[in-house]
Amino acid sequence: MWNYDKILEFPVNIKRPNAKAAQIIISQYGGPDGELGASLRYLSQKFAMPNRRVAGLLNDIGTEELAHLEMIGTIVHQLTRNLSIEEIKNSGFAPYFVDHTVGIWPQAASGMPFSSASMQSTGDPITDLSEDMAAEQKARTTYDNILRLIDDPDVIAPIRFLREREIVHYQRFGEALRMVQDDLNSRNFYAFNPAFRG
Amino acid sequence: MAENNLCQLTREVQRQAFTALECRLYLDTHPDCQEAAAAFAKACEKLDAARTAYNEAAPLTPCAAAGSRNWSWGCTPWPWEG
Repeated sequence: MWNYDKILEFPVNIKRPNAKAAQIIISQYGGPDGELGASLRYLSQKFAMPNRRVAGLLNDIGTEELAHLEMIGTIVHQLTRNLSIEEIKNSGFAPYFVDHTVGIWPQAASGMPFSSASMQSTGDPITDLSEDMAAEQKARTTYDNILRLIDDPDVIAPIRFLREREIVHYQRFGEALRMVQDDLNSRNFYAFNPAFRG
Repeated sequence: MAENNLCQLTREVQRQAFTALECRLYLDTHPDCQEAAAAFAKACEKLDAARTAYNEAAPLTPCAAAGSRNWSWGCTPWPWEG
């Protein structure tokens, strides 16, 4: 089960609202490679993970992703509070505003709603961990693109922190994949699902 | 025997955590209720004791596994194993 600590994982204190930046960054809230999908992916995959230590890694990283989701929500919230209606009209924020005002709703930058169709939980440890490594790289790419598009140092600092976490998670998942491969029967040369005997 | 004991320790943490949670939700909407505040304080105390007792048998949190040989956080059973 979970408990909540009343702090962010890394500080977010944005002084200047910026609806354009918010519309881009919300992709990491509910987009195809965002933090919500990351968390649900790992926290769903853990149940079928036979290696106990790797299951623990999925649980720990899935939990950290929830803290990242909160950071992204905080960034979008701080970027959109105190916006004037003129700023909303002139920044292209109106299509989001009409449905959600300045509430936080999980969607991609394109407006596409959050969907579990962008993630997998296959019950195959090797498939899942390969997906997880790709997922971390995809999220890192998204953060790279966000950093190319924004110039506010108050936003850049937490986004850089989140980007670095993707790199660390990628490393850990690589090690986890090796641990699972070490558990394979030597006759399972092609690394078929070691968790299901059908 | 050890497993049985862990089962009892788990039930005690669950009992106290649930009591504390119920008080907490009530206090969220009744912040001035002294009776609920007192019940919450009592539950927190009991929860703390239950968690301490549990941690002596197995780690409830990663911090409780600090200093363990071979990182007990990752090798003791996960709750979904049943």
